Parts: sequence; C-alpha cells; structure tokens
Amino acid sequence: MTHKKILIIFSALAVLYWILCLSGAAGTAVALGDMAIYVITVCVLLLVCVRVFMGAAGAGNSPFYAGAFGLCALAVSEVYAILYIYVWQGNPADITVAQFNRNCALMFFVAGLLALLRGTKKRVAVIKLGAGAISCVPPALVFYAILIDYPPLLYRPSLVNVVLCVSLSVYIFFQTPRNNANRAFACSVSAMVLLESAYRLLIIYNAVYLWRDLVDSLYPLVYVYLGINLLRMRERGEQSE
Amino acid sequence: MSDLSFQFLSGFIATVIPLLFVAVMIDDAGSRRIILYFCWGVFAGVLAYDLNNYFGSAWGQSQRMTLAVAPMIEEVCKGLPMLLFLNVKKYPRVTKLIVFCAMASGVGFSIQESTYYFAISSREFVDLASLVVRTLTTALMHGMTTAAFGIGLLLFSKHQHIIIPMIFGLFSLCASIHALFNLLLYTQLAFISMIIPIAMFVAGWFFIRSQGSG
Repeated sequence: MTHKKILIIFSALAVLYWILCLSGAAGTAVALGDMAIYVITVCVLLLVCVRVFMGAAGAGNSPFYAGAFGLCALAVSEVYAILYIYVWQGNPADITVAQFNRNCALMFFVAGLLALLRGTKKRVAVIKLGAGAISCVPPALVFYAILIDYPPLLYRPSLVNVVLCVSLSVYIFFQTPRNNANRAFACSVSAMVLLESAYRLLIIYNAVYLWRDLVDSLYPLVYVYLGINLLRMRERGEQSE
Repeated sequence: MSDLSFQFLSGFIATVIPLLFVAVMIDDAGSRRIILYFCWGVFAGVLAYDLNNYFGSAWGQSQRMTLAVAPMIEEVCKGLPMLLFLNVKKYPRVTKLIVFCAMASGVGFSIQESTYYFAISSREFVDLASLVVRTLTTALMHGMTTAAFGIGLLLFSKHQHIIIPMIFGLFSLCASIHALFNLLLYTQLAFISMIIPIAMFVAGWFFIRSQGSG
C-alpha cells in the first residue's frame, strides 16, 4: 500500500471519529472508536519502527534511529494511555507516565532534527550541544513534578521544546531547499509539536470537549505522517551530519 | 534503618563481596565489567528501595506509586552507570559489551528485588509457580529495559552531539515500558505483561546477532 493511501485512510478515520463526537453518539461508541483508531495507529507506528531499524545500520543514520525511537516512545505512551483509561478505568486526566513520555518523545525528535543540521563544524557543534541541553529542561521539570506529586506542572506545555522544534524545523526547511525528505520530516515534527501543545493548552484552559476531540482525532494522522516521512528519508538514503 | 531496608542492604553485601573477589581474579576486562555492572544492579535495588520510600511518601495511593514513581526511579538507578560508556574513545571495542553490561545491571536489580519480594510475602500467597512466573517475567523485564537503554546508547555513542536529548529520551522510554508492565500485571491482560519482556528479549537477541562480532 502506498504512503498516500495510508494517509488517506487515516484522514478518513480522523473525520469519522470527529463525526462520531459531533453527532453526540453514546460515550461507549466514541470510546471504542477512539480506542480502535489508536490501536491501528500504534500498530502502524511499530511497523514503521521495525522497518526503520532494519537495514539502517551504520554511521550517519542517526536521524532515522532518533525518529524511530521517538515513534516507539509515542506508541508506548499511547498504549499506556489506552490501557490506563479503558482497562484500568483510570482518570484520563491522570496519565502522568504518558505525559512524561510524550514530553520525552519530543526529545528524540529534537535529536533527529539536530542530526540533520548542516553547516560549519564548530557552529553546528555549538547548536547541537546547546539545543540538546536546553531540550532536557522540560522533561526534567515533569520528572520532578511526578516525584514531588505536583500535577499542575505536568500539564504545562513544554514551551521550550515546542520553540526549539519549530525553530530547528524552520532552519532545516530553509537550509536544505532541494532536500524534500528532510524538509518533510522537519514539517511533520513541527506539526506534531504544535498539536501536542494545542492539546495541552486546551486541557489547561479547560476547553469544551468538542475541541479536545478535534485535536485528539488529528493525533493518529500526524503520527502516521511522521512515520511515513521517516520511511521516505530512509528509502532515499539521506545522510546526516 | 527499617528492618526491610536492612534486609536489602544485607542481601547486597552478601552478594557483592563474593562477586568482587571473582571480578578481581578474572583476566578478561569485558567479563569483569559485566560482573561489576551486575553488582551495581544489586546495589541499585537498595538505592531504589530507599528513594521509592522517600519520594513515595508524597503519594497517597500505592497504585500511583507503582505506576508513576517507581518505574522512573528504578530505571534511572539501573541505567546510571551506563553513562560511563559514553566516552567511546576510551572504550573503542565495546559494541556488544554495552548491552551485556546493561542487561547484567537490570538482572542484578531484579534478583535483589525478587528475593526480598518473596522474603516478605506470606507463604500462603507464594507458591513455586508464582515464583517461577515472577522471576521469568520481572527479571527479564528489568534486564531488557536496561538492555534497551544500552542498545540506544550503542546506536548513538558515535553521535556525541545529540547524545544529551537521547539519554533523557531513552530513560523515559524504559520507564514507560516498565510502567506499562506494572499497569498490566494486575489486570485481566496480565498475559500481555508476560509477553512484553519475552518479545523484548527476542528483539534484543536478534539485534545482538545482527551486530556481528565486536
């Protein structure tokens, strides 16, 4: 199945899920639809990870590995969230581990973006070291929030990583004008980061569920788009660093 | 020091001191390193127990402690010495050794934890089957989550500039898999929590075999 077809299927699933929510369907139907979409997404993400890990051996492939680890982290966090809510019957607002993991998954993508940077050796080295160190701050804060049991800190958007990812993506976008695979990867990371922060802001400001559902329905689509771009990068044999 | 904390500590001393003698006798640096990482794992069991108690006091329910605090603390304690491998110039031929040492640390931790779990459990609730099942799944889970951390380090050890975000990410990934295992263990889907470590072991085995000699 081509990448385009997969994206169309996931777009259709997103629309279907939102129609379910809009139509005011019974809670169970919405919950089951939500769970089914996420289970499919997780399977696709894991398949992408396997394909990225297979045959991408050797030096110079760090963006693939970082991206694949990021997808693994997202898949694990989604599985955890699904099971916590539907099997454990836990409160959706209390998924601390999934929150922490999503925060850290961003760091894998920051690492992937950093590996794509090109330029003079010294300048790139300074950017990589600085951005890498800065990207650790938000997850460290979340980790601390979990240890001292201070939930408000958990749901603050990791603004530092959002700004970092978006600016790195813009930089890569303009730095590699002829490299469509790298640009697509940078764009998909930015899309994911912005969606993530939008969702957290909706939770913080206690927005109506319809808006939360809209953003929630877009997650699988963005995840799969990210995975597909990672595969495209690997197929074209993009070299990093 | 509580009785249990003393039991943990005495288990650590009784295990580690004899193993240190073995480590001194062994010529092969790689094998010695694996034994020392195993000893660290046993010590990490003591350290994690005290840290869990310290941070867990802020948490009212043991369930939330099991799902959120313990996995993070335990994964950090087990994986901490793996950071020594970051200096790849100093250890040029360590490809598989990183993974073996990581697994040894995780298994050492698990042995310490399981021993005292059974020591404090009532005889009525612990039979041979549960002992075998817990040892098989928990030991493998602890070993393989740390091994996953080692595999990540192995892949990125040559890319020093992006290693900082990767380390944090790897810790989180291991902690989440650990939390997922703990979450499933007490539900009707417990069989999945048994499959997770076995699947990770098989994947790790194939990964190690694909690396060739070195």
